[in-house]
Amino acid sequence: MNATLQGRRSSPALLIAEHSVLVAYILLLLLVGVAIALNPAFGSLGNLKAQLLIASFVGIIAIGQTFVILTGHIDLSVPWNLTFSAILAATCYANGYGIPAAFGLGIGFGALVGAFNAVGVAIFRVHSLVWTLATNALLQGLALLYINGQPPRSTIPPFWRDMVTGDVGGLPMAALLWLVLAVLTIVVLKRTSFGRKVYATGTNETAAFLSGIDTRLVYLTVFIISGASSAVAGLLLTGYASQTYLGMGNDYLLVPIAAVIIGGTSVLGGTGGYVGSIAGTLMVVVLQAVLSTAQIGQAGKNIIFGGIILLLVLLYGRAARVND
Amino acid sequence: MAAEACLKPWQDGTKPARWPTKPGPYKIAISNSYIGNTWRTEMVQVAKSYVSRPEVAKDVASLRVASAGNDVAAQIAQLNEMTLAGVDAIILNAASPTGLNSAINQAAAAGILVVSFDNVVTTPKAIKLNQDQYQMGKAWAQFVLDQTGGKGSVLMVRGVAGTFVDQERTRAAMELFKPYPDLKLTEVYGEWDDGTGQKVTANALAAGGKFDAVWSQGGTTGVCRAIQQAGQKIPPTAGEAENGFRKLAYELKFPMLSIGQSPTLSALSIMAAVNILKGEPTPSEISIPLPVVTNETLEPGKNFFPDLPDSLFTAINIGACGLEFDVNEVLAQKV
Repeated sequence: MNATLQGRRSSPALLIAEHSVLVAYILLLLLVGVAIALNPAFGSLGNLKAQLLIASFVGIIAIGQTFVILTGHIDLSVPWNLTFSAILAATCYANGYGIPAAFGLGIGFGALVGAFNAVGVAIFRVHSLVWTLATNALLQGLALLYINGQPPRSTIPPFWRDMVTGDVGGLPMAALLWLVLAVLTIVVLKRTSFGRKVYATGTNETAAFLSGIDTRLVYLTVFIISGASSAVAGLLLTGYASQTYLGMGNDYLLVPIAAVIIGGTSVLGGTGGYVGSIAGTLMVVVLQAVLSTAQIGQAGKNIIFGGIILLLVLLYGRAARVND
Repeated sequence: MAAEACLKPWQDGTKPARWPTKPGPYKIAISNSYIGNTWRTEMVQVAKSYVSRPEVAKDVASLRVASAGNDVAAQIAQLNEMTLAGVDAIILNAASPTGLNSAINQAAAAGILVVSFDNVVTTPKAIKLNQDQYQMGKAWAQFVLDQTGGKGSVLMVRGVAGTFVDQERTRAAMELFKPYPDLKLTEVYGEWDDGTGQKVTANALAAGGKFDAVWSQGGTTGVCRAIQQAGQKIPPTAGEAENGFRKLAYELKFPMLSIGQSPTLSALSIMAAVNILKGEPTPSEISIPLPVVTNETLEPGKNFFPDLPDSLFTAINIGACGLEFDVNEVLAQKV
């Protein structure tokens, strides 16, 4: 550490930068504290479990977004990738495929969409902001074509419905799945050479490439992870809602991205990680829950939600600059 | 056809439509905005199914459908293109109540009749056809009052904030609820979507709620599922016409009232356009009777469909209009 930084050690921005994950969790605790103070029932076991269930949908999508954002890109194809994968899986199940085959096809399709995104980004060198947005539109059209205008004739396996909404060992099943995937994500990012390649690519793609990293392979892998995690979230949502329907992914574009950013991952890539995204996910979900039942009118809710997200991003944005 | 009972004037004093008559058959175009949900795809399918009937087909030379997305500029371009193509009538579900007015005025100046439905427009150059959203909100609220006797806690699941439909439905309910201070109202926004409705209802319940009645503008299947998942009995519920909601009400026998915005509004708009072009007296602002279903009239295969998906909108038959559709025939139409 050089002398300049030493001299500024006491600055609060630097403190935040050094402990951004810790700060995210402190803010989360504060938020939950406020929620319980406003309505003591918020702290009830039933409610915390319900929130954890909803958070697992966002959190699993945030896994994919964390990988992609760490490389300096973004995946805007989540809403219709999620919808299409879920409809595909549920329709296959309705047509007599077993659960493993039907769900496998759904997740496989999601991964394939991810690979398609990677082709645009890594080979045609189109920025993901444009390419994945186009993919999303493409998938909406394909979904309409696939169902031929009928509401999706999907069947949700009753076992799956009970599983998603049920508990395993006192925790919602979806939350357990999220926990397992989260641990896996953290290990991959922090303890494997692939994880280091993701950070290196996001920090400086050219330098990473020159140091022998196959950046195309990195892009391919992160977008496949994002596509597959969209599909997994889609499958969980079908169990939660007991149906698939057009537009089921609409809520899941910006919220997971917000979760990743307020969890301390730089939107420019290279810094951050999934431990922060977990805190970000829980913060966004708790905030939405508190606001959705607050009797303050939609205008107030939007202003408060947007304002708090802005505040958090400002906090980290500033911290990241100091860190540089 | 029972046009008088079906295509009713919006209110006393609504002027009749004045439009130069033309010999048929007519070229008709549907200009739609967003297409990414079940209601919109059904709306298109009902229109196609309607014009395939022999008694309608003789008056309709062609029907083309285009969807511009929720993009005012794209829909303006679409309207201009239809105007240049020289169709006789444009059936319009608008992306904006005011943003398309100049394009509509141009179409009218070129001799093209514009009938706007569902999301109607403000320009007097267009014929307007819709269900009365205020009456819908009022009927739901009256059901809640009847069921609760004017006291207890009510979950109000609103739609998309800032839309005319949400405001009208809610305004009607609030006017009815106002004299009852013992009604405790909890408002959430379900955005007329099952997933969102389920999530916000779960939030309302988890935060310590137990409701004596539900007033839901949409996403009603999701609202009911959230209550089920919280381990509670579904209270008396006034809601939209989602197939899933009616299936649940039939199976679990909770008191219900179901009124839907009908996808058949597209077909009725075509009916109105043909009537006007033929010179039959038709109001310039048209109110379509509300298709109401209660526990007593709930009937499988008729106004809900146990074998069809939850997200289907069931309100495709408007009795007062003498229009009956076979749901499978409607769904077999391409979008």
